[in-house]
Amino acid sequence: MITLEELKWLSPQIIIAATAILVMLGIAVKRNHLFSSLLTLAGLIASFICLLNAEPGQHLASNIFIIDGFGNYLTGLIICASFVITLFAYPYMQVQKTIKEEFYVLLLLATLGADCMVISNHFITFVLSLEVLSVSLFGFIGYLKNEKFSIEAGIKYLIMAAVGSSFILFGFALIYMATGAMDLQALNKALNGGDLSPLVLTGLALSIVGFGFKMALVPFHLWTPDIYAGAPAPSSAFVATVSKGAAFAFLLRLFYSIGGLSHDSIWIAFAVIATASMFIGNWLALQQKNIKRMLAYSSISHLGYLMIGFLAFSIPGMRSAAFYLTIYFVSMLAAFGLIIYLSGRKGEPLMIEDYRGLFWTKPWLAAFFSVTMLSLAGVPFTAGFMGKFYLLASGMNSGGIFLLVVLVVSSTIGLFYYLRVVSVMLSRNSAEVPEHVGANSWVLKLLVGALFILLLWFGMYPSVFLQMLSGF
Amino acid sequence: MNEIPLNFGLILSALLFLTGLLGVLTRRNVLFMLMSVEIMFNAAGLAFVLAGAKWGQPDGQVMLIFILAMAAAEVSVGLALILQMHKMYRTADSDALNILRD
Repeated sequence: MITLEELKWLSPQIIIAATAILVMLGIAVKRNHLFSSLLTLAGLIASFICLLNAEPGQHLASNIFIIDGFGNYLTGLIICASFVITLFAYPYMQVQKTIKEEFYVLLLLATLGADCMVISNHFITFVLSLEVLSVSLFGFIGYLKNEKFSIEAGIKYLIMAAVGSSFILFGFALIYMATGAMDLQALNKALNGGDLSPLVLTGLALSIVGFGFKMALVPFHLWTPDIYAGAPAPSSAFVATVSKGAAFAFLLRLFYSIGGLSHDSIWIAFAVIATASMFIGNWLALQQKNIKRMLAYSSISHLGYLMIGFLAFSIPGMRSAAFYLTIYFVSMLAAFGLIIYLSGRKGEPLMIEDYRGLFWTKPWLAAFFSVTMLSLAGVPFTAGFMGKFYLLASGMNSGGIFLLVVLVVSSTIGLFYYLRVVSVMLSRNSAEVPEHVGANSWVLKLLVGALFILLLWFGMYPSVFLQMLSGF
Repeated sequence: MNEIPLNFGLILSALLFLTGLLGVLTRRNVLFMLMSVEIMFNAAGLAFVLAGAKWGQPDGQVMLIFILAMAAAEVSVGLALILQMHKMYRTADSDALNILRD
């Protein structure tokens, strides 16, 4: 039974669920775009305040949820990302010809799924929150229902996500069959110390495939560029950040608690996946002309970097992974924010060529965009550098030197395509920037400025943020 | 009364899972792909029920109920998307989805 006290621990999630229902009811009474988006923002803020008042320490809510420092940190991160995406979505949806309000219901439900996923402690809560997240993402990606590209992206994601979920489910079923346990503590008791039976190994392998689909790691990455390019930009931003981050969080919880990474075969499998993601992600990004596809491949390589923190299999590794995830969120949100800033009634500026000469027409915006690109590349004094620095430090302690070399080499490849965007923006061009939503939205201007400051702050003075991570 | 060994059930669910996977990979019609994914879900459900029977716990069957509910939710949203696709393309052939490419 869930007691009243446990409900209090889960209040951030409950508030988000209630807000989703309220927004839906609000739509039923009267459609108002501004009202829906304000209600969404209020719900997210209330949920965040609840989270700040959470008691420290580790709590189990009747074995199915675990509320600890790591979970709370990621819940907060996801709520912040959703908050930013809601603010992005308002001016973006304002110029679309379709109905607008349901976007926020889907956004809240997807946030709820992700928030429950990072605190889940049992297969059932994980699977349910995964599906809440995926099913709302189908609608979220295919939201512009009169545009062929959006529907195409939605259907591709539908099939891919469903296949990924079924791999995870079948893997979990095999693990349950071998151990008779579904919550992480009981799994830990059943598996730790001894050798893993073939049934458990098969189960873990199948669930790794499923997680690979969800996090778009090579060789399960094929859907990513199509989805990013076809989905409306706020949805792409959501898929790139929240959905991947939540899946990563549970992957980390699962493998840290069952001690799977102390088995060589599993460690090597993950190391191969990480290496392939870093190299192939960066390599394919080099050849892209479409900026959203480029960001998709770049996100594949970033998830590869993130796996180094995961593979360190230690508390510092977990901290550095959470820190890198934060930086990845901020950088990706800034990049998609700028695409949204420049998109208008005629669509989004998809091609890198669309940004030619941006420095001469919109110097500030181009400067922000350059810093975002440099941060994704990991240049010193930007956030990306600090993130990679901590990943390297945690990887060094655990002895995976090979992976660190791969990180450095593939980051160098990555530098080329990020700098190409900057050089295209710097080249001389007299063409005018077409009408875009950012021009008359002070919210977008403020938000882009805030993300810019955050990127530099992380890069130069990260200790404030690192203190937040010391709780786990 | 002879009991059927657990492994038989395990092999059956693995076969079902592979059938579904092959269906997703080879079928060109989006509707059939969705149906194949459902077979994969149900294979996982069967494996959960078997595991529950092995350990004498109700958890496996509870998982099956949740999987069924989940699959239904997924199909309802999926069918809405496929319907919209059919409206636009006049076909449910996945090869028609070819705007997004390198």
